[in-house]
Amino acid sequence: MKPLNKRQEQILLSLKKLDYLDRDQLNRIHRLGTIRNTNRILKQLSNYLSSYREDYSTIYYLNKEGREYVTSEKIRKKTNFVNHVIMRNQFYIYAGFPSKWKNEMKLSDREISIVCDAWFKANGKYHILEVDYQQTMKENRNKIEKYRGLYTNKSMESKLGHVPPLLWLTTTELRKKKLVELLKGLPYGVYTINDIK
Amino acid sequence: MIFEVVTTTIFGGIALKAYKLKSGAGNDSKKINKIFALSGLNVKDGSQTLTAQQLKKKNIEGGVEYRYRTPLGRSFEDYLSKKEAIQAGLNTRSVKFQMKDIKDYLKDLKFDKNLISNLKEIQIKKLTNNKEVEMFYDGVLKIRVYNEPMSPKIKWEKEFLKPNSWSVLIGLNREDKIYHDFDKRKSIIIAGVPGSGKSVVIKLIITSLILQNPDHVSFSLIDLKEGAAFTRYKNLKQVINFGKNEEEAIEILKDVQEKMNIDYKRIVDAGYEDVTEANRKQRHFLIIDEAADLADTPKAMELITDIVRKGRGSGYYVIYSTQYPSMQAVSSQIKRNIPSRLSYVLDSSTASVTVLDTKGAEDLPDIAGRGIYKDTKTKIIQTPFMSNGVIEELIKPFNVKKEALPNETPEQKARTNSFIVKETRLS
Repeated sequence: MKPLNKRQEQILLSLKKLDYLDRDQLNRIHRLGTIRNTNRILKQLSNYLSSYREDYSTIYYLNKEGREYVTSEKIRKKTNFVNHVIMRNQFYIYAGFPSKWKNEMKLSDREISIVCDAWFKANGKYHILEVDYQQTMKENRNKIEKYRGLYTNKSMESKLGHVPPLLWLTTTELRKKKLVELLKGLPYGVYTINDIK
Repeated sequence: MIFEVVTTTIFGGIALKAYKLKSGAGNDSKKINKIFALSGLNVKDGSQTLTAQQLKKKNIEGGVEYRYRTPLGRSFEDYLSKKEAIQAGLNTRSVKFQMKDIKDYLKDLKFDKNLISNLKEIQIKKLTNNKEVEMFYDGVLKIRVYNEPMSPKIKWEKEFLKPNSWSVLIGLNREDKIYHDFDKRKSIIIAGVPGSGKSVVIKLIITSLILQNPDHVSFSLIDLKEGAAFTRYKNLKQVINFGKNEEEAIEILKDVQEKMNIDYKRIVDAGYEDVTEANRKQRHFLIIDEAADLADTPKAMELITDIVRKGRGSGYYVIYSTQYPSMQAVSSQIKRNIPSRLSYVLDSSTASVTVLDTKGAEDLPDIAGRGIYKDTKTKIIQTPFMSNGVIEELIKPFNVKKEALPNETPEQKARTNSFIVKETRLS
């Protein structure tokens, strides 16, 4: 096997950070140019990657070799969770690849603790991201109530010095409408997947 | 003439005897036989009726012991379940007045101006039977009938102590004093409804241990009733840990486990099997009152189970007390590792089975301190009462001001700014 060049290594590292990415996302993050070129580069990395075809794109993730190359211990598999991650990564691209981006962080004060989908800093402010991919509205409502508690306790505000906005990424306009209704009174932003593509 | 007198007397005697038998007024042995028959304890085998056969009648202190050979097809439990019927039967009198009553009457009667009221008082006292029955089985069925009920209140005395030993008096029954030897029987589970005497016996145990081995004993006290019962022990030099809520309890359990592991390793490394063989004098007692409150905390239960299991060998003994002995509060792991039980009155037979593995604790009379102690067999005991005043007097010499010592578990302070962002498994 040939030693990898810097660009190839970086592709593996972003897969370590973001778990699953489809071809278009990799193309945009690493500015790989045409689709043909992207396919070519990913083909070169095929020893380190697993992939499968979904809709009109291919989704890539690290295989055992790839995990060893970037020393990641998290085993990735094709699960129902993948689409959720892909959606979240779409927002990562939309937010302009924030350097301080952490997935699945636990936010807690003494009373309430909740795991958000992503926690990142952009434009000098922290943001909370929740991705709504095939969740029930009831589940969303419960989550929002928890966040409401977290905001009213003010511990977050006093620790960070500002109020981190609560961002929701959802699939359809109807769901967006419903979420906006639920989020009233909080610092929020709701996007559909089409808004950010 | 002489012949006539003799025969008349004899026949008169027989007639009297027959009358007495009919009314069931003879001795208790006949009465018990009758109760056996009437309460369905005899066994029909074809045309034959098998009955309990009386082997012996013996006078014991304060009563009489009857021994029976039970018929085939009847177990001790059958007889035990009819204990109430036997007791009630023995306390029923169909004959209002007996010769011995008159004897007692005259003995107690004072011929003064209060003669009438005196007579009345004695009548009430003497003519109500107050017999109490205890039953045992060791090959033969033993029924002990006591003329007086067991004393409901026994005061604690200094003579009960056994200096330099680890056996502690936990109660008395009619014959002797019942000691729990922590070196032999190790840990103990104590159960009972509120106000039945749990806290009293725990205080009795702590105080006795301190007085018997003041230099070798140490305690970790956990009282989930907000520390109410153990406050007076808080400042003793023997008390290492003192906790009154869940968080403190877990800290204490962790601390005890750590120390136990160190000690255990030391004993094993020296080539001994347990603490008695190693001749170590130090013993540590982990006392948990209202332990059921910890049942919802798996971490705590895990720690307790470990301490119970390994503590036997290393001299770390557990006194586990609960008022609600459900399967959850007294897990089977804990139960199997603590064979000694002490149960005061409980509200249901299920609870009794959970603690003692047999029924009975629900039938105890409602007397504080009346309990059942189970080591190899069960004994009914009365725990002596030790008043708080006496306790304070006794433990006074061991009091130290503890405020300056760092041993106590630190108070948890609420942080004002407590927002935390933490990575999870999926991050």
